[in-house]
Amino acid sequence: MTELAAMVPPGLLLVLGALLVPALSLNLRRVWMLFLPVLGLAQVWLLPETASLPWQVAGFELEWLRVDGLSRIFATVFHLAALLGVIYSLHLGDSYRDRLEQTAALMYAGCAIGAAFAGDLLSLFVWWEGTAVTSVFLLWQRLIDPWHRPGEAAERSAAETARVRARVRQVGRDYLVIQVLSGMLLLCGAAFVYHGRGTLSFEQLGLPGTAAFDRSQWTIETLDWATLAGPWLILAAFGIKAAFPFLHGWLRDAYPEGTATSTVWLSAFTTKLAIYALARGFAGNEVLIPVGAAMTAFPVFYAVIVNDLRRVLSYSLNNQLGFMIVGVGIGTELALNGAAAHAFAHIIYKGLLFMSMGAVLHRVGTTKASELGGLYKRMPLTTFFCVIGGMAISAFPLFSGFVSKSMVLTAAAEGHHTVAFLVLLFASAGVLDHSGIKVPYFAFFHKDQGLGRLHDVKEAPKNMLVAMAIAAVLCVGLGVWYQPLYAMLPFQEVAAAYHPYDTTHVVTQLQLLMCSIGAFVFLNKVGWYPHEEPGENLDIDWVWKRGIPRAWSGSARVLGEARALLGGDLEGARQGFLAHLGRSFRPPGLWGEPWPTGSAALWAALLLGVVLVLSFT
Amino acid sequence: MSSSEQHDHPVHPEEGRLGPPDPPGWAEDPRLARALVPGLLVICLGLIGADLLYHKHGHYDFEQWVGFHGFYGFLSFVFLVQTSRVMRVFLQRREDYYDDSLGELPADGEAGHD
Repeated sequence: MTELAAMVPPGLLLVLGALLVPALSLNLRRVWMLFLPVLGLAQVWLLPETASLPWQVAGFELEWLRVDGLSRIFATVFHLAALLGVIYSLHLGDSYRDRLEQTAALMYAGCAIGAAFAGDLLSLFVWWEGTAVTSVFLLWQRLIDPWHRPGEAAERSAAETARVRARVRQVGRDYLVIQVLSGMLLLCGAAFVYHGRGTLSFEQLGLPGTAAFDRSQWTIETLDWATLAGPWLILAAFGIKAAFPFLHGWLRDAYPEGTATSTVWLSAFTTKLAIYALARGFAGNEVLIPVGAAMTAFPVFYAVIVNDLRRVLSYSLNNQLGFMIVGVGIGTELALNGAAAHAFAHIIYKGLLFMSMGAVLHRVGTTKASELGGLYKRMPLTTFFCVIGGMAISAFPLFSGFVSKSMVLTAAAEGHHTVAFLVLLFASAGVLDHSGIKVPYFAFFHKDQGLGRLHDVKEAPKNMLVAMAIAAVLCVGLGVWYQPLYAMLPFQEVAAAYHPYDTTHVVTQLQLLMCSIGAFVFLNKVGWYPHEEPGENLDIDWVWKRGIPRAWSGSARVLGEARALLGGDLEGARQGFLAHLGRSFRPPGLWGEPWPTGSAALWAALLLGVVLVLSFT
Repeated sequence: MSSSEQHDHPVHPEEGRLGPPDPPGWAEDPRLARALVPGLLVICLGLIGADLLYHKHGHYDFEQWVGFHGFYGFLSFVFLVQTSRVMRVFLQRREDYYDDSLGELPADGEAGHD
């Protein structure tokens, strides 16, 4: 069995299996889509750590298959996310939009899984670009039908539909450009690293110019600029997908534009693949600690004021990535365990939160906080699951976030990263606000705005409820019975010695959370909690949506004005220059004359002769 | 606050589509609202008081102060929400702020397909 498992790279099963999806009949397709992630998961756990699948291209020795604890835990949770995603979208029918989504989603998951096993930078690049190209169709499928509630398209005017389509097309285009740019940076970085190290193998890359740089890894005699740039370029590539501060615009922009189901897929893979890649390539690079800490903090401010609850969850996702990146930056065994465990727990609870908002979107047609409210009466189970997800992400004791996040916090304190520690504590209170309180409260418990009755909203479809129930069980299960999760972590001895449930941890975490809830109630009572209102909040995406176009058209206008001022002088000079060139290069001139073939051949032979003579001497 | 006060043209897809609310459910029970503040006070003070009952360990001295995490959480939350309110003044725009960058939109929507 183990030989069989090692015959194809993991992930390829899903990618190839997805190709069958559009061709199968509805029921067969459902069975096939459920089967693929289960098969893939079995493959991952049958693979021995010695498995290898080398390939060669243009003289490079490459490796599809490198199996260790880090790749296995990420591949496991990617498969789980794929399975949950399939169950959650089982209600999808036979339309082209639905088939496109299912195919793209499975291929996307497959690419992320494949990347987790890539042993070299070139194989990583192949899968890396694969996730970009497949996932954009999870956005663009909305061009076929942009509305979320079944039958909604008939109620909308053609102009409304055109507007949403135009927006989706633009968001998808921006997303694709940024994701492919990340791949290009990775490829450039890989070329430079090869130049300096003589190998493409994907190992730790200490950043040149920092304490983490290890000269012994580099075979090149003198470090040139290309060598030094390589790891930084790769970090930039990973940083785009991990949504580092200032590189995060695509995430807040794109994820709220998916369908009810496709955003659940999107939320699981791209960013966590980047976390895996950072843990593999940049563990212990302390420059990541302030980057990660900033990431935990700034998105929570946006999450308070943003109206679309799926955008709130996107900022919240960004904030959770920060915890993992701090863990990677600290780089101790405990911290890396914490980053991996947090990624695992995060994919499930964040998936659950997106699923609950997807259910709302499917039934109501919107996730804008200013329009929702009172839905707990109509969607009690969805409400319950959403609250479970909110408690897991807020890291209440007995929930999955608690057993994973506390490792990162402990590692930060042990390493005396005091500022980072305090920022993470602050961000923990922030998480509670946007995901623990804002999302469930404004969707389900806030004042009823009447959309429930208007659209005759019912509980979510059964398959959505099943997927949410499984995710909710995992959120609680991993929190209570955390040993199986810890047994998967890359550093086993440290994981076995870590005990999340001691009195100090439990009491202090409960204090932090309950007093934050107290603050929420207090701010509401005194009227200092901001109302939910429709609006766009400016973020870094302003730069490419407004800033650059404005600068471009502005400078074009200035140039136009300048040219108009110079007017005839400039045009006269240009004409004169062209006439001067024309004297030589137009037909009557020396170079403009048509030459006979024979003399051209003579000149070529002469030139070759000169080259020959020069190269011999 | 309703969305229709802010927009007088159809930038807001749900505009004018909000219906009458459902009858109140268990979460709107006034007894719950009355019990909320005293209940939370008891829980928070109880948790802070619990710090006196066990040996608190931590890597920093400040972690061992009684109720440190509770006060830190409360203040963080207030700081976060108040800062965000100020941010909103500077960063919030109309919901259709970026719509004009979408180019010419056809009134009949036929150009939606590429």
